[in-house]
Order: sequence, then C-alpha cells, then structure tokens
Amino acid sequence: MQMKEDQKPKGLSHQLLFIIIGMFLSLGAFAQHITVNGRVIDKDGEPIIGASILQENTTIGTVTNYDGEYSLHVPANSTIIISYVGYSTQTISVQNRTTINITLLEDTQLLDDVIVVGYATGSQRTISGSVAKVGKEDMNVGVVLNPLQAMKGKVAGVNISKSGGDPAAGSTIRVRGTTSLSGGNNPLVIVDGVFADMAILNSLAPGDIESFTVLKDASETAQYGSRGASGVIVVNTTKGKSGVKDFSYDGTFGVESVYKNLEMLSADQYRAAATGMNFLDKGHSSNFLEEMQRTGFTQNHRISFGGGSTDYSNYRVSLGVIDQEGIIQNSEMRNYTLKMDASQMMFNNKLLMEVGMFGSKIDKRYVNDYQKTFYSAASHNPTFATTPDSDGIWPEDLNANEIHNPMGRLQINDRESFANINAHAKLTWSITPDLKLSGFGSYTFSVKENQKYIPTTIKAGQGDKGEASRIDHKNSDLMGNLMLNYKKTFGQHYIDALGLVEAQKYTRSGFNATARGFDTDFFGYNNLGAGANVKYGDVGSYWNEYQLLSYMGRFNYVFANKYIATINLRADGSSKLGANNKWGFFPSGSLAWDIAQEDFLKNISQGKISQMKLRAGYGLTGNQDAIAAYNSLSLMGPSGTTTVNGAPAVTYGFNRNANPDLRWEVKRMFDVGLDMGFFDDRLTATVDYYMSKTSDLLYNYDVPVPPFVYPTLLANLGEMKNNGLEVSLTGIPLQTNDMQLTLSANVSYQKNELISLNGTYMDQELSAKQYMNLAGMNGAGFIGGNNQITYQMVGQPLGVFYLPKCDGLIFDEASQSYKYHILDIDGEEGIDLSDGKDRYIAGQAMPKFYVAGNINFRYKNWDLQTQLNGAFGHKIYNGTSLTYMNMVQFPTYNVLKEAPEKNIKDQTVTDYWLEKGDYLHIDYLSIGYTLNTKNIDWMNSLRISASVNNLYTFTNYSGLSPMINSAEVNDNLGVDDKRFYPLSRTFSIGLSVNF
Amino acid sequence: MKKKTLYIMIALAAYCLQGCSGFLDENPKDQMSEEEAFKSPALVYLNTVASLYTYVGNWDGNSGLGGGDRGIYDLNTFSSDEAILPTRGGDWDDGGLWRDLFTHNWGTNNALLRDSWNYIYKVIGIANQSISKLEGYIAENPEEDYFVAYHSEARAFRAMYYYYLLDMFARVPLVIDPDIQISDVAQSSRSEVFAFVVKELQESVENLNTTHSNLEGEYYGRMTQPVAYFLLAKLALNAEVYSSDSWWENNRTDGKNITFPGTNMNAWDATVFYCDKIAALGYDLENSYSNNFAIKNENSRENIYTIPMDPTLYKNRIYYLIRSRHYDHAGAYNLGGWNGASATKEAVTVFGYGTGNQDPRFDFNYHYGKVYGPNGEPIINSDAGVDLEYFPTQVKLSYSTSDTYLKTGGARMKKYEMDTNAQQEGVLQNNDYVLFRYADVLLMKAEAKVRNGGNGSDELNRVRNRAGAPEREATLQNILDERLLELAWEGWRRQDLIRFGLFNKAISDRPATESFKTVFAIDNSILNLNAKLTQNHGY
Repeated sequence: MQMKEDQKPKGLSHQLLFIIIGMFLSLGAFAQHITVNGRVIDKDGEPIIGASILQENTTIGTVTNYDGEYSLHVPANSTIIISYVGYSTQTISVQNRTTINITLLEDTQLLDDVIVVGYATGSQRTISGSVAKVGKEDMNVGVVLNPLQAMKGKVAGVNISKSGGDPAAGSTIRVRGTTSLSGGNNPLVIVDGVFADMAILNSLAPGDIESFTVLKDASETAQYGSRGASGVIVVNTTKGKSGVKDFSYDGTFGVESVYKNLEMLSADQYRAAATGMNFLDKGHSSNFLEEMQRTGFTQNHRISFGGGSTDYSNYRVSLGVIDQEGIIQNSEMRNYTLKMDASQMMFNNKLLMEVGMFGSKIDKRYVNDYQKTFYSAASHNPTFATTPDSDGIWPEDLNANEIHNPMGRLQINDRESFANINAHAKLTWSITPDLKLSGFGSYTFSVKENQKYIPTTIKAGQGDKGEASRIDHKNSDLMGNLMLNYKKTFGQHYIDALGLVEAQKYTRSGFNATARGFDTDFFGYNNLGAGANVKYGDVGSYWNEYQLLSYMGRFNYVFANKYIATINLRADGSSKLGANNKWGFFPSGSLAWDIAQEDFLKNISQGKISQMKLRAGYGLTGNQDAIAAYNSLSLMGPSGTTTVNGAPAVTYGFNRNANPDLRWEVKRMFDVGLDMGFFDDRLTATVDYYMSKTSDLLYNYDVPVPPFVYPTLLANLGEMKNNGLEVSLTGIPLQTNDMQLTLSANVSYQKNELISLNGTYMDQELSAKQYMNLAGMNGAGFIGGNNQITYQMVGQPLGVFYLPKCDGLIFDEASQSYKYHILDIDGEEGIDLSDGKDRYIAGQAMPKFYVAGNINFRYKNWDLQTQLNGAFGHKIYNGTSLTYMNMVQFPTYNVLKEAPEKNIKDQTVTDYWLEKGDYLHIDYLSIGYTLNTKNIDWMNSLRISASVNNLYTFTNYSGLSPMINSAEVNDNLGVDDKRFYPLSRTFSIGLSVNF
Repeated sequence: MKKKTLYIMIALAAYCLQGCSGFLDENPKDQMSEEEAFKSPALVYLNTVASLYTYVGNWDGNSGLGGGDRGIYDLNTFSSDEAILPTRGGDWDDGGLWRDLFTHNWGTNNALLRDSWNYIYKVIGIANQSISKLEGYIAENPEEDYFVAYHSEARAFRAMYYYYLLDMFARVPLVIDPDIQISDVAQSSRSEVFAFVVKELQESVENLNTTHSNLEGEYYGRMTQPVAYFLLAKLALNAEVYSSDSWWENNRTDGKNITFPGTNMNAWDATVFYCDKIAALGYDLENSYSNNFAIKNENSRENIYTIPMDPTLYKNRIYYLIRSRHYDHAGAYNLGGWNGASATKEAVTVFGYGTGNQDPRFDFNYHYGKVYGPNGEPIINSDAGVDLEYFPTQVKLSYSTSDTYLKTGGARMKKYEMDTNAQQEGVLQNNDYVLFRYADVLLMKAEAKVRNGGNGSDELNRVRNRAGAPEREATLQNILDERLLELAWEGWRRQDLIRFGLFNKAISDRPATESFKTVFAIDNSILNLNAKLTQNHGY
C-alpha cells in the first residue's frame, strides 16, 4: 500500500486521496481571530501535500499546498485538526500561536482505508471475509485499454485472460475458476452501486476508476444472493474532491507490430515441394500472413476536471477516447467515454444528494471468423495474387474448398457498436450521526448493433450475391433500493447493521434482418432494401423481461478491534423461475480474529508483527444467469414454414423441453484466510484456502428421445467442486527518500472436479452421457469422425484432453510417408478411436496454477515497473501444427516449412500434438519520469512514460502463443486450431499532466 | 427517530410484498401460451397438422426424411453398393466416417445413427402431442368431422416415421402417449413394430384425402391417401424382412406364407393390392424421366410424395448435388461443390457404362467424362490445367494424395436439374425433393408378382420403355438391377439389397459383412440415457 505515494505524481494523489470531514457550524464565531501559518511534513521531512487543516467543530478549513504549507484564519483559542489519509490525525490547540509546524506520523497499520464491501463500507479493521482491493496506484500501466487490463494479475484467484491481439475481442475473467456449466461464470459487476455486466465494465475508461474491490468468497458475495456465485467486482469511480479544483490530461500513443508468425512454405518452396503433383501455379509469390498485417496504432486520451467547495459539494467530468487499430487490416476498436458526477450536502449536512452519469460508445470492426480467415491466410496456395482481378473479383482456389482468399475475407465488413448510458442518483439522510437511510435508483439503457456485409466479390458472398445483415439488441435495466444503515461504537464494541429492500427489472428486446441478392456492393449493410432476396427466418425480433425482488440484512460486529463477525442474509425472488421455486434464501457468516492485537503476540513479536488476522467464512450464493426469461413456462413460438391451402404459413410449436421445476443453482463456499503484516507492513502476505460446491447444477442435460421431444433439457441436477489456495505477497525490501523497491506476487492454485451430472427430475432418473465433447478440430478432412479433443467428464476437472495415445511416427510403406503410431490401450482387439475405446485422459485444459508478479522501482523522479503473468499445469492441443504438418492436403493446402521434410501424411487426432501449456509472460515494462513541479505554480504534476507491452513469453509450447483459450468452457477450450489472432508488441509513450 | 424510520422501512417492505405481489409474474409477448395457439379451428389445424410438415425437409445437418449431409439418406445410400463417398487424400477423411459407413463398420458410437434416431423420434413426439390434442377435440366436438380427418392425417404421418425406424433400427419403442415416463419406454420386437405401422396406416388411410400431394394446392406436401398406400405397399413388399425377429439368421418366412396384417392376402398379393390402389388414384409415368427431377417438377403425374422446395419460402435443403460435383464444376456455375459422392464400380457396371448397351438413364443420373459450363465450354480442372473429366471406373474407397484420380475418380450425381438460381451455394434449390414415385410402384408390383409366381414383365417394361431401354424379362435379378437403374440416388438401395439378401455380399473395396448389419446399431448415447433399451443383435 505504501508504494502509492511514490508511484503517482503528488498532485494527482492529493486530489485522489484528500477527504474533508463534515463539521457543524463554529461555536466560537465571535472569538478573536488570528492567522495561523505552518508546514506539514512527514517523519522524513518531506512535505505532505493536500493534508487537511480544520477548525474543530466547524467547516472552516484548508489544505496544504505543494510545499506542505498552509494558512488558516481561526479564533485564537480554537483547536485545529490535521489529517491526511494514511497518517494519524492530530488535534492541536492554537493557543494564540501564529506558526504551527506539524509532523504527521504514518498510521502504521493503514487499516482504516475505506473499502466498499458490496452495499456496506468498511475497513480492514471490520472486514471478516475475503476481500481484495486494487486501488488506482496498484493498477497496471502502459497501454491499458479497458478496466480488466488495469486489474489483470493484481488479485490472486482472479484470472483475466485474452486470446490473441484483436483489439475488438474481449477478455475472459474468472473469479476462483469456473463454477457453473451453463453460463453465469462472469462475476457480477457493481459500478458506483449500479448493477452492471462485463459489457458495461469494458466500456468504462480505466482512468476513471478509483478502485476495484473483489469479493471472492461467499461470506460477502452472499450480499448479492442469486447473482453472487461467480464473485463480485465493485468498481468505484473517481469523484470530485472538495476544496480543490483541477484539470488533467492523460494520454498514451503506441505503435504495434507482430512479433511472431507461422512459417509456411514460401511460393518457391511450395513449387519445389509440389513438383510432380497436380497444382495450380498462378505465377505469383505471396505471403498472405504478412500481406494482411500492418503496423497497428493505439492511442488513448482523456481529459477531466472537477472540484468542490469546502462545505461539501463537488463535481467531476471526464471525457475520453480510446482508439486501437489492430495489426490485421480492417480490425479496430474505438471507445468514447463520458462520465459526470455531482454531489451536494443540504439541510445542515443531513441530506447528501449524489447524481452520476456514465456513457460510452464502442465501435468495433471484427476480423470475421478468426478460424476461416487465419486458416485461409496460412494455408492458401502462395502462387495466387494478393489483389483482386480487374473486375474487382478476388481469385479463389476452388480446390481448397475449406478456405477462401484471405485478402478477400478481410473485405467482409463486420462491425459492432455498443452504446450505453446510465443515470443514477442516491439520497442519503443522516437521521442521526449513526443512522442513515438511503434511497438509490439507477437506469441503464444500452444498444448493441451488429452490422455485417459480405461482398459479392469474394467466395463467401458469391453464392448468395452478397449478404447484408443487421442485428440490434436493446437492454434497459431499472433498479432501485432503500437501505437503512446503523453504525456505532460503544466502548470496545462496534456494530454496523444494514437492512435493504431492492427491486430490479430487466427488459431485453431486439431485431434482426438479413438480405441477400445484391447487384452492387455499394450499399453494404446500409440499405437492406437493395437486396432482392429475403427468406423466411431472415427477419426476426424478440422481447422479454424479468424481475428480481430482494431483501437483505447485514450485521457486522467488532469487539476490541480483535474479534470480527459478519452475517449476511439475503432473500431473492426471481420471475424467471418455476412458480414454486421463485424465492431463494442466501445466508452467510464469517469470523475474524486479529491476533496481532493480542498482548501475547505483541510480547513475542516486539512490534515486528503489525497484522495477523485469521478469517473464516461460509455462505450460499446463487446463479440464475443460465436461465432465460420464460424458461420455466411452456410456450409456443414459430416452429417453421409449410403450406396451408397452397400458401406458405408459419406454424407454432414448443421449441424446447420445458422445465416447470427450474431452480437456482446454489454454490456453497467455505473460505479460511490469514492476513499478515510484518515490519510496519513493509511485508504483507495474504493466504486463502477455499472450497466450494455447486449443487443443483444448471445444465442442458441429455434426455432420452423418446419420451422427450428434444434431446436436451435445462434442469438442476449434478454437482461440481472447486477448491483452491491463494497466496499474495508484497514487500518493500528497499526504502529511502530517493529510492524504493516494491515487489509483489500472487499465486493461485485451482482444482475443479465435476462430481456428478445425474439426479432425479420429476421422479425420473436423468444422467448426462459419459463423454461430453467440448472442443475438436475443424477444417478440411476434419468434418465428423473422431476429431474431438477436449471433453467434460464426471469425476474429472472441466475440460480434459481425452485422446488416442501415440508413441511416435511410423513409416508407412504404402504411402511412403509417416503416420502417427497409435497404441491399442483398451484391451479390445484392434484400434478404435471412438469414445470409450482406445483413448485416455491425457491432461487438463485449464491451468492448475496462475502466477502474477510486479516489480516497481523508483529512484528520485524516475520509476520503472514490470508486470508478469503466468499459468502452469495445463496442456494445449496444437491443432495448428497437426493441420499444417500434414502433407495429405498438400498442395491444395499449404504447409509449414518443416512439413515436407517430416513427411507426415496423417491427420488423425492423437496426443502427439498435445503439449505442455506452461508459460510466463512479461506483460509490460514501463519507465516513467515525474517532473519536479514544486516551483511551477500553474501546474500540479507532470509525468511522462514509455512502455513496451507483450515484451516476451517464456514457454516451451511450439505454437504461436500459449495464451489461447484455457479458461472459458466453450468449443475451443484448450485447442489451438488455426484461429489465433497474432499478439502484437506495443511500444508506447504516455503523458499525464495535472493543472 | 430510529424506530420511526424502522417502521417506515417495514411499511415499505410490507407495501412491496403486497403491492408488488405481481412483480415477479411473467408476461411474455414474443411467445404464446398453448391456449392462445389453439384459439380457432384454423389455428388448431395449423398447430397440430400443418406444423408436422415443417419437419419433413432438411433444415440442419441431420434432419429431414431426405436427410441433410449427415442423416437418414446417407445411412441408406452410402452403406449400399450404389454410391460411395471416397476419401480423397485428406479430403473427406472426416475421421473415417464415410469409409466406415461403406464397409459396414459404423460401430455403436456414430453421430449419424444418434442424430437420425433423435430426429425421427422428435417428429414422432410432436405428432404424439398433435394426436393427443386432436383426440381431445374429437371428444369435445363429436359433430365436427374435420377433427377426425386431421387425426387420421397425423396418425398416418406418424406411421411414416415409424416405418423409417422399422426399416433402419427394427426394435424400437412404440411411443404414442406424449406424457409417457422414461421408465415406460421400452422396445417392441420388429414384428410388433411392423404390425403397429400397418395397423395405423390401415386405420387412417380411408379418412385421408385422395389428392396427389405433389401438386401445389391445399394438399401440397401432405399425407394423402396415395402416400399411405405407397407406404403400405412398401411394408407388404418387405414383409419377409419386417416380420422377422431374427434377421441375422437366414430363416425368413416366405412372403407367400405371410398373411399381411389386417388383410387375408399374402404379402405379395397385398403389395399388388396397394400398388393397384395407387394406380387407381390416377398416377402414370411421366413421358420423360427427367421431368420428375426438373426445377419445376410440381406437376409431375408420377411423383407421389415430395418435399416442397423453395429457397425463399420453405428453406428445405438438398445436399446431393453440392456434395458430389467437383470444385471447378461447381465454380463454373457459381455454385458450391464439395467433390465427394460418386457411383460405385458396381453401379457403373449395372448401367453398362462403356459397353454398347449403356442404359440411357446413366446420362440422366450421372456426370461422367468431360463436363461443360453454362455456355457449353469445357470446364478447366484448375489443379491440373486440363479439361475437367470424371472417370467412373477409377472410383475407390480411398485415394492417396499422389493418385492421378484423386479428385476426378467416380461418376457424379446429376439426377436433379441444376438450378443455377439456387441459393446458399446450391443447397436451397427449387426442385421438389422426390421421396416416393410411381415408377417405384410399378417395380414393386412387378417384383411382388414374380415372387408370387406370376409374371411382372409388363410393369418392368413399362418402366424400361419410358427410359428408352430395351425390354427385359422380369427375373428377380433384372428387377433388382432395374431398381438401381431407375431409382439411382433415391435412397432405396439398402432396403432393396436387404430384401434380396445381398446387402452383406462382398463388393469392390468391401469384403462380405455379417448378416446382423442389415439393421443399424442404436447409438450408445441413446442406450446410456435409458437403461431399458438394449442394443440390437450382434453389436
């Protein structure tokens, strides 16, 4: 925590951290006044900027300037209070003195930093659950384009990953692993009290975020009941600060380049290797992979201003733009952001009114279908031209049926724009200083619009003479709550009690249309009426709505600053569930004991142990995101077209097996942890162990047809287990006036097991099938057959590799080439590659360990920072090499440079291409210089920095990058199959200036 | 003060519980309740009967009676001696799927088997809902006889799906109640399923309309009397096979000694009886063979049951042409081509390819030799830089990459007129997909007569004359050959070979196979989900 003073420019810090405490009117208004001057310094003699000087029991006050100096007009007999966050507050009688210099001492435990714990606020002193905070000073630097990047690697147990370098692609986040099979694995995001999702989180400017608080275990996530199962991220944005006004600019500019490409045969090598075979030589020498790449750019600009009066009112406005052009042509992302906040105290500071708005618009252009595009680029016949013919038609190699002209594919105009706006307001009435009643309301409206045009000049568009489509999704989220909060200290006792009633309403609607049959590409997707052909099913729309009603109570008790207990109780009613299962109850409790406060430890440690807090908690949370509105009802919708009396008609039917018995998925979690601090917290460590069990697992179970009509049924059966260990360490081995070195690291270990996927549904025994396939190979010759790779199996972690066993290559006389030699391991005669036969479990797709580390070194005005992320204990199926090393498809499909020599003519999926996925990646290295602005009175701070992102990856994985999808359970989990958007290395410079 | 606020809170909470009691209700607007969906007689027809027909065609990979590219048709065609999907280097390797089908090694973990089963039972399940609904209406409105007609139509429709199960999987559960529990789903023997299908058709056929359902109009694409009679004729013709519960042993009862259920005729007389019923409804051979498969084939006098095709209105798909033609052949017409399915050596031989007596229907059914573009110009094989040519006798199960005929071996499917206005690479075309037609009826009659000791030459030669082929004597072998010639690519070959006892014989690229393979395995995933189901004999 102490690094923040050194890492951030002082000017910014003072705005960010300065807090005025509300006071009542002066009682000594008629006393004789004098002007007190002085300087506030720390124990090292450094000035403290922005420290608050207040006359006791008034709102009269000031803050120290950049030299730590202040001047205040007060009654000669008054008392002043000097405070600064992180330091012990001092109260001093003026006693007619006109000069008072103060040395503030650091609050050694730094425990009173306010932490937003869901609906409640607390501090390290009062928290008994597993809660981690990432403040602004801890966030990542360099090119940070979204909030997830800002917190990546900062919290043990929170894994943020992104596959490839597409600016338009998002990251995956998992808090303590995957706990549900049916979606709802993204954490709940709360932005300034507003319920949001990953889309809204990603639309915020990272620079506007003051802190992230991650609630990891059920003892606190239970506050969010049915939505808390996958963890909760509470985002607090930067607000205006009373007493100062400022204007600041932050910006970065960077260039990006590819640092690793697949080495396919060049045109000449291709010709040489294909000698004697039938192939098409168009006479060119093209490298399509390089041809579709370019130098990427990224820039990020944000201006903000804000301020406030000392009698508590403040405002802040921030405007920003983030722009990234990817290294593949025609892929880009641009995000415009706006945020405004204002607050004001009224009626003798009895009523606090807060209003906030945030909005953004993100425009993206995608590389349409990664796999098709990158597969095409790598394996296309390199003797083709990279340009269209004189009629604008892109030449196609018709024999290579599974791929297209890669340059042609880039002409697909595939865009998405996401716009959202939120307005929220809160009224807090201080009924007594201890009792507060607040009302909160929020409305979010968002529109996601997808637009796509496939031109007539490329293979994908020729068959249907162009295809234009538009899809709109409109979401409107309304929520409100009333909360009563009582906080009081009685002697050794501290209580914090909270009661809440909350209602939420979510409305979803959308529209889609597709038109084909264009005689010109002029219109693109802008005039669907220009297409001649609109079929049944090409136009559609939807509307649905669901509601949640909740009651919550929270009780937090601290005794003697040593013993802490917290209980949360929440009841949620959801419209989405079956009539008899609408309400769910989610209780939790936790206890903590700060042993360092005990005399016996104080005696032993002699002050060396500053903190030793043992925590334990248990709670229930739910997951309802896998259930869509109306899922529990038996409803009829369009089922197809046929003729009625010779004319086409749409018929209506049940389009799924209805389950009137749908319930919440419930997760029970136990967590035990220890927070430790040594040597005045120069070394801190947190260790957490957790166990969780998800039951009533929502899943689309395979059901027998007959009697069911559809082969799957969404039902609550089955159980899954997760447990893990998380360790974080932060140490400051070196700390002087001029120099500081801060090292931090965290490691998390995760173990997941699918315990069962069967149970009783409506008195009938249901069970899922033994081998549930997740991901397999795609491309020429891989359509159907035994090409499946990752599976989900009961008794195993989610995503295991289940493959035939190969002990090497064997020369095949008949084809004069090598084949994969597959072992007969099932005891039955002959090789059978189907499930349950000659296959074995060969490893897991999700890492067992995630590791992150940060090194931060400051010398005078210079600072240097680097962040590392790594994952260990998992495997990757290198389907890219399986495909591109296979000479069976050559010369129709190009191969890797080493393929002709290796002479493998086999594309059987075996464990031959299963490789270790371990890696350690240097995310960035950044160097910064903070200008000494002491003598510049019109400028608070100025910092310039230079960074390199994606510096290097340490790995033994032979493919392009080990950073493929190893986290999200979907159809490419653990399989690197010709779809990787190359990572780029970004060189950037940054400027932040504050006036 | 505190108390007052607490009271306010409690009051608000109480108000919310009261006033918001409807807050958690759902009011869908983009889907409707069952009550709404059956509000009027027109809606009852639409959602009980018409809705069934939306499932007959192919919408995705495995659905449809004609199959997609992974369905019923493929199981019945690529397991026979009529057609083959060769592995061309890595192309069409697909993990051995097609080779296994051809060599009868489809195994018990096979997505085609699983998906075909699930598709057929899905439609049966929906038909059961319709039938049960209609039974309710009949009980409530005994005076409204149209409900009876609807009910018969849905029953006959369901029987058609059970007929496919009977043919392919033999021992299947007879499920007719939409609310049946898993524990009550158990297999019936093949002979029981056979008797059930016959009875269902016999009981409903008289209530069906007599209109030719291939004609556009009120009964277009529907289950009408001739369709039901056609199915009864097929059931009678295959009665030897269908009534045997030990198909893996060569102990079939002779059709002469099988009394066709519900009649007092033997199987062969029953076949002739039903064939004559169809003829009496006004069917005849088209003058030209190709009329039945033209882009505009709705007015055929010969087609009995078709799947209506229209790229814009129905979106039913057909994959046979796209799957067969060479990439450059397709490219010349701006359509898709996957360069796969070909005629086998056996099929080519029966057609007399390359002899002086080549059957005229070879030209109707197959692309071979050089092929030409839309303007009559030779199509260039872009790989080799020469004119594209298909080599019918160079067909084989698996080509190595260096094989000269890697991409050009095998005669390709031509049966349906190429619709150059077809969409989605050609899978959405206008030619109605022909499931049942009258030429088959004549050949069934010829066969039944011969098997019954009579003479079927008249029927056989009507078919041959229309095609311009010289007359032949109606021996069983000639009839079997004729069925290959006339009904090439129409999905009957597996059934015909089984009836003739030749399904398991050795052919090029396939040694003889075990007799139990005449019935497909039930996919393991289906067995796993219902402990009462057992695997078919031999697997």
